[in-house]
Amino acid sequence: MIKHFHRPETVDEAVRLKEQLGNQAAFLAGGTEVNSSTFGFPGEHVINLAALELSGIRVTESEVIVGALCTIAELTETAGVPRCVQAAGLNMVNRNIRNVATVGGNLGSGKSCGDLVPVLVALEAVLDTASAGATRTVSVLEYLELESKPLITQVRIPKVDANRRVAVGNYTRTSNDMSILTAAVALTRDGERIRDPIVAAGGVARHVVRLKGVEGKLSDREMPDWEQIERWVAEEIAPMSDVRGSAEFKRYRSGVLVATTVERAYRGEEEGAR
Amino acid sequence: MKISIQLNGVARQFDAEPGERLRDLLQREGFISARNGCDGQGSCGSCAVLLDRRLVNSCLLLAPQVDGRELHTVEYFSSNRELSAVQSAFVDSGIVQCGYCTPAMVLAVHELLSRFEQPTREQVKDALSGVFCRCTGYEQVYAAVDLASRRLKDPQFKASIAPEFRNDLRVVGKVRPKVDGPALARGESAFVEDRVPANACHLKMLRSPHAHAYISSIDTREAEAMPGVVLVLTHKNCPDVYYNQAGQGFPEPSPYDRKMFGPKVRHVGDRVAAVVTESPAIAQAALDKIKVEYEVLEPVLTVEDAAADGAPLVHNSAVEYVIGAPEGLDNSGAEPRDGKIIYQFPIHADPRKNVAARVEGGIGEIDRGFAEAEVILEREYETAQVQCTPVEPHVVCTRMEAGRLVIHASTQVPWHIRRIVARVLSIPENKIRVIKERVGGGFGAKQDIVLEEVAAYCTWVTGRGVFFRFNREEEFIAARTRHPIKVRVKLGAQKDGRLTAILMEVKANTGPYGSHCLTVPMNACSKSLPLLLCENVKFLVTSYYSNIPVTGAYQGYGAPQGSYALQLAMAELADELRMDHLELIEKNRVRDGSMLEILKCLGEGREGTAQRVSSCGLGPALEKGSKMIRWGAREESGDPDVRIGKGLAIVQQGSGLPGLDSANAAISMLGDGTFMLLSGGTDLGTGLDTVTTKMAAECLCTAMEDIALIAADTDVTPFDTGAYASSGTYFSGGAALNAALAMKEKILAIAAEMLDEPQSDLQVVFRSTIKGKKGSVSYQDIARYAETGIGCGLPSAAGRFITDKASFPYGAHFCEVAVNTRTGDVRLRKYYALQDCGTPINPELALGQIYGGVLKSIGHSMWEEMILDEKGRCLNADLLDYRVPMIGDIPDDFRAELVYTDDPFGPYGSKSVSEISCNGAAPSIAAAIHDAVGIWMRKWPFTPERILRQLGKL
Repeated sequence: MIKHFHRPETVDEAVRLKEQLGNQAAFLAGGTEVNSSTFGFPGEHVINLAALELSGIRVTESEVIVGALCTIAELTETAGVPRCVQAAGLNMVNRNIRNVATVGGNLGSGKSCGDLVPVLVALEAVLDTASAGATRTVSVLEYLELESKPLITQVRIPKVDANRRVAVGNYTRTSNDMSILTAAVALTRDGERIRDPIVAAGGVARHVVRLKGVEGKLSDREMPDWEQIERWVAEEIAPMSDVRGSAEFKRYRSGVLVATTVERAYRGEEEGAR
Repeated sequence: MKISIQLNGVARQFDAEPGERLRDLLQREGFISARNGCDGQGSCGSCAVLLDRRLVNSCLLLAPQVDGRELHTVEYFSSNRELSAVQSAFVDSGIVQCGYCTPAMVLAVHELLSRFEQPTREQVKDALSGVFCRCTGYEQVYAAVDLASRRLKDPQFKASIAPEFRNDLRVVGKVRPKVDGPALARGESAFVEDRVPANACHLKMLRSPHAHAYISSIDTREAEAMPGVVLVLTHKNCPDVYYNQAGQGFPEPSPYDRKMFGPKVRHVGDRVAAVVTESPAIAQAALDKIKVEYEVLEPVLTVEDAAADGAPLVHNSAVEYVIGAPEGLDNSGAEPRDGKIIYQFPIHADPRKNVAARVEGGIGEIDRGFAEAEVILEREYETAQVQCTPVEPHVVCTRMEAGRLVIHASTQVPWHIRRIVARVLSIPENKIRVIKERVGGGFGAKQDIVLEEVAAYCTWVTGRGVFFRFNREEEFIAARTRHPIKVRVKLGAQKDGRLTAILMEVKANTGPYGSHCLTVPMNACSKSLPLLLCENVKFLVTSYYSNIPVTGAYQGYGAPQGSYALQLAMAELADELRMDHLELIEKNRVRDGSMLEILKCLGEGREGTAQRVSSCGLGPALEKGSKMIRWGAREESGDPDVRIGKGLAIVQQGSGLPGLDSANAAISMLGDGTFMLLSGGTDLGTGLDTVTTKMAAECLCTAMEDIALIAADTDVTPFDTGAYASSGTYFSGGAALNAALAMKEKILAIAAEMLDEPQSDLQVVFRSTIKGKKGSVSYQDIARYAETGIGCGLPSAAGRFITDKASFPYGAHFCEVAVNTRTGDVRLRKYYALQDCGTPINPELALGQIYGGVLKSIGHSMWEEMILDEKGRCLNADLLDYRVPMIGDIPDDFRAELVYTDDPFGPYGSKSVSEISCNGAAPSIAAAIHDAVGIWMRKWPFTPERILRQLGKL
């Protein structure tokens, strides 16, 4: 039960508090995870980040910089944010949640699916992070692997080459559902051939993963049959059975989702990063 | 902590605990419209507020997070009792039903219209994507938003909301604002949780972690010793009284197979102990101090488990009968810890075989019917356990007043509560007053006495007010659910499609206690078989005890399961016969004037009577629906993976229970010629209060605002069996009409005296006037005359409605689906529900009932399912993983149509409308899936995983 509500005014103050309190404290951004009775934080301290200057979205020539406290709604409504990122944001549950959930919170919560994570992996975004006495820039996947997670201060999404194509997808059971499976694919179309594919999938492991095997098989070749991609995906993932679906279903359905997303990226559909 | 909020335009300061949720702060500060439907999970949106003008869930915010920010609740839009454009549009569009989620919806639309002047359908869908409403089916929200956007520009704008009926009548059949709509749209105090005295105690229940176990020891001493603990209740100190929680007419066809607490627990979530404490926090701490040891038994989870030789017995109980005990009743071998079962009359139970009830019957000669058949089809269908999920969970507040017990209830059955509580507490009924508050969704779940008797007993023995509210998990595991049922259907037919025989064998899983154990599964037959005319019909119904979460009544009451089986079997038969499904239905369906012999053997625990169909709109419903959906035309998706298919089902229900139900009303004239109507009818948000008001206003030629209504208060209003079995409009509405008719006679008599004209020369004219050949007199004049010392006194009258006639509502449901053979996804492209409810008394509200019922049953058909593990634990007892449909899930093209008939028996020609709406989705969608991809979905829900398995993809 939360007994202490800390209101640091600087990033430095926030991360020092976190270091001092350890697992007894959680960073509080929007609160849709920390305050949820299902996923909620069991400790006694929350470190409210609201006073930190981590909001806003800046679009530069080389990148889009998204403050960690930027809400998903702001992300989806701001011009200049890649449309594929906005599409991934719009896949998040419902408007009530998007109005308050933050980009940093979505990344920091470490969900198996993480609505924004696959697309940020596909776009090779990096995270500026802060911990006591240090700042560090890490890739999204590096961040997910960290045992002790630093505070994300901003997300930097590099502008991609004009030939780069990106698509995102997700599977939910009903319209107002958390994502059960997610996928994002980035690739360069070189004539009919696929170059440098990045395939990220969520809901099939502890956190979002890159399907390196699938990427290797897709590289430097024309678009394969969907069924072939589905088989490659199925071979590479080992989802868990739970109340949301059997492992067999998730494996099959993730294959379909990834294959469809590859196809849509290949065709250069509306979610493209351009 | 001190926090400052710009709240509803006023700078306010509050003291907040660091971990206090914003919703809790708003509630304690009197901003009650931020409701609670999911216990802080953030999955229902009932607690929505506008934070810096954006819609957010206040349960997901800590109060200190909003320090320095701007906040609006629905109260902001309701200043001076005026309605905002959005609120008035909601009321006028018929989108306010139970009203529990209405403030959240209103705020969502205010936010939407601040962003878009005239939003698109997609923008509306997005705006309301986070608000869960179980009542309305959402479709009418679109019209409400359109109306609101126009009213923002022109406050006087009026729109045509729904078709109107009966030109000969003034308010009946016409669109009129729901009488309780404005208060609910304003978010006013209305629900049980708004009635809790400040010093009330809090009740919490310790629940069994085991599906089947004896309590070998229980130690409550530590809990009892805690400061703030008022009472701890277990099987050792609770009343030694057997009863059933089913809110059915006495004597019930349900066994008295439980006490308030027992030494045996029969499902995960069964009662072990209750604590009554000064605060919720103490209650939880006290529960943690109760030490319980269990002797765990093997659970029985399916009907196959229950029927197996040597199966563990859920009730190895001694059996007693009030009447009709079978000869040679043998109670040897009964286990004392299993207690007793008392039957009011035989329901052919055999608890030693886990059989809770059994019935069989039929007409004609079934063997001859099958012998005459040229085609025989035999199939089995299965339905999953689904939950009613009212947004407001079960809740009660009890208190003492002048030596009597007052129960503020969210219930469908105030008088059954009074009777059952009186039995359990062993006190006279005159010591109890039950006040039905606004009900935040009932759907059958609140037909049972699920928590009231415990709170009532605690108040009775302690003298303290007690508040008891289920959390969402308790709602799943300890409230009421739809019976999982397996139905074997065997059809015999000639090659031309004429049915020669129908056999229905129903095996129902009634769970740990026998609430509705006979009548729900019987309804699987009684609300499906009479749709088909066949001379040889047989049904066998067996209801089994098990250790799954408690089942009971749920809108449709067995009919959705029976309809799914029989209607889908007809689709399969059509396929077998290579005949068009609609043609097969037309050859066999019931018609106006048909004699329904089968009803002789389908009474509710007693002998039934054959009935002639008094009105039937099936013909026009099928004709219009088939045109709307372009029946027979093949549609193409343009995507090789996506196939389109169409399906249909015909449906029926009843209008209350003839010969069993009764309803009463009383009406009195006040000094200014207006009226006070006292109705026993229980409005669950369905619009019944508007129905009864209209009945009286229509009959007395007065305005609706001249009728003030008090309903469902056992001290004040006369008896009514309650709101179930689709009885409201027919019975409670009928009673209001009969009371008004009696009042009219009295008014005419007084007027005749005043005008000195014979009564036969007088007529009642609008508004509130008696007109004679020589003169006229107003109701006000009559009242003033009557209340003087020379008058006869202000008139009052009573009305009762009972009947032996059954007026069946009918309907035809058509749908069109797109099945993706790669993903297993089924998209509902079209759903058309055409229903005959006789004269629709409130057309816009009747449409809302249809949309709501259909969407609930779409949910059951497509997504909803309580998933139990091998120990009987429900793995998805929350709104996160139990998937109820929301606005984004409704069919792309969703239409409800009212097919008018004039029923000779219903008040102003009316019949019921709500429950029937639940019966068409499963069979029509399953038939459409087959039409699309050639698979028969014989188990609901039709999830993508099941579709893929049927398609051989998994």
